[in-house]
Amino acid sequence: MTLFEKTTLALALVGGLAIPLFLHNEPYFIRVAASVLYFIILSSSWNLLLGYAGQLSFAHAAFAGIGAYTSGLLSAGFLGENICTGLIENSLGFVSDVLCGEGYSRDFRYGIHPLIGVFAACLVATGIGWCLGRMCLRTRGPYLALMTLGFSETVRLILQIEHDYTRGSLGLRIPYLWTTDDGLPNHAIGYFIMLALTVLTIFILYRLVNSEKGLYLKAIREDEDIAAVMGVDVIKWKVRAFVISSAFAGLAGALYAHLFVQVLAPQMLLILEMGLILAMTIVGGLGTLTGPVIGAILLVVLWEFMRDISPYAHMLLFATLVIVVMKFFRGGLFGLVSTWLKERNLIAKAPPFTVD
Amino acid sequence: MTDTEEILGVSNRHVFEVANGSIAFGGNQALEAVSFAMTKGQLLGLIGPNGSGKTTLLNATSGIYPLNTGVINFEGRSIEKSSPHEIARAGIARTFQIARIFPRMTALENMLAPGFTVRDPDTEDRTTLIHRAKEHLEFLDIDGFAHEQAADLSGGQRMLLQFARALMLKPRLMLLDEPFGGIHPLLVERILQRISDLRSRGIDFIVVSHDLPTIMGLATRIIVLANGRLIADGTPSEVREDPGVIEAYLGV
Repeated sequence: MTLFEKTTLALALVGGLAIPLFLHNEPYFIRVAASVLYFIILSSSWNLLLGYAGQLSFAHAAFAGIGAYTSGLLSAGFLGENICTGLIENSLGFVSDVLCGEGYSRDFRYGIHPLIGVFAACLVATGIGWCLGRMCLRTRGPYLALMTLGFSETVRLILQIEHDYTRGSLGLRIPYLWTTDDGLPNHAIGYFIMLALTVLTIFILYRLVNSEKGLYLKAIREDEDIAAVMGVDVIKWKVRAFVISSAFAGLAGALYAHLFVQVLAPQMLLILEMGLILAMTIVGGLGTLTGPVIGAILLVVLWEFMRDISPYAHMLLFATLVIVVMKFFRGGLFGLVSTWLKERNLIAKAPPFTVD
Repeated sequence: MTDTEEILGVSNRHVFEVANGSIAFGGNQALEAVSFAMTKGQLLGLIGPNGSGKTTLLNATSGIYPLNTGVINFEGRSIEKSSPHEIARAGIARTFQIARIFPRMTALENMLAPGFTVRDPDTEDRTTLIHRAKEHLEFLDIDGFAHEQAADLSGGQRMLLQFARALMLKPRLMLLDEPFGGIHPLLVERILQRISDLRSRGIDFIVVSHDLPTIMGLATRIIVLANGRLIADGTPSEVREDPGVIEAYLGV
């Protein structure tokens, strides 16, 4: 890392930590900041698939949704009331009582503690990611995109139609992970948890893409046949990338749901949501770690400014941006800046594999 | 050795052998009952007209198109059902007629991806691996591009890069598809020199080439394919005299 990179990273971290200190009386701004973090995690992990391994998946928002609903259903106790009241009440409810003291929430007395829910969500997203990956990743190019699109719509429709369990479009009310004394969500703590997860995500992705595993993924992106002939187990690494990215999506979806979203709706699995992740990654810069971060910050802020115009005005703008970026500068915003920075030796040209 | 083994050429004293290898693409019989065996130390030249099945044979060997019927053995293990990455790690590396490099990776990264797949962490640390990659690049005069995108390389440099990249697999058998196409004569000399170095270190080669003078001078044995069938097998001088070959390939 160059001095410039270290300074930027440190400033970004300090800035990220300082936001709640300045804005602790402005829940709106903290919520926006937290949704920036949520989208940074989603687009960074999706970027591992498209930007590094070259696999176009449309199921990323679905995995965030699967995470949120897994944890939501478990902790809201909805499953409990409907199918296995006794079991949930006696065993899982007991765990919640132990963790949180008796009667931690009368509304959700059949549910398990959201924290366990979040872990379960991560496991479920990982598991489903593995199954879907094993099934779909033997195919290539447009077929993977179509299969994941189909999967994502199927999951959304199931959540919408099975309203006995999920309350469908009415929305599923779920418990907050962290509340203040008056039962409202503690935004500052929620924000810090999201920030920690963001830092963890980016750190893990950084380690991953700058190791030999990153080389295998890039080789697969460039040419699957040749990667295989050069000894890379293509299916194995594609499935691993898919599982890792699904796990992050599930974890982010579940945590964000319990920290900032009180009512889950199947709309979070809409293809529009996937479009947001796609736009942030591409506008920021595909195949770089910095790109999705820049993209998520910029697009969420733009989105907030455009809320008053019309509910979908931001999608119009983002779609246009994606087209412009794809047509004129494929590297995205970070691609534009990075050429300039590389010329001045502010960022390293070929960081991972140099020996002096 | 029994008679059947003798006929099929399947036995352990051969380092590489194909027995009755056949592949059809739809109605097109790309390889038809091709059998040959190769002993250690040979450099096998594979020639034949366009569309005669030379590249298909290499693709079958490296696992890209599995054989419909037949057997391929390498060092006594049958590999015709293995996947490409297993074959690569077993010690067979190859290059392609039209250089297929990883364009949006640096030349060094192109080298390291295969290097890491066969690295034994106990005997080779990352630094040694990187040094080995750089040596290969240096020898072929493309070390100046180590940190440049491989997409910036010229056609000839790409050929050199994929040759160097194949070496990173530490192969014991190399399959070269038209390795001299579009390369500067001085660098062809370099490649020939490297091939002879590698042969003295016990690496065997199968070389597909249309450059008959070069391949006839280089190979210890020539195999001629025409329409998916093996029509001649012998030393360069024997093959040059073979009437079938003259008709199918060299003649008009």
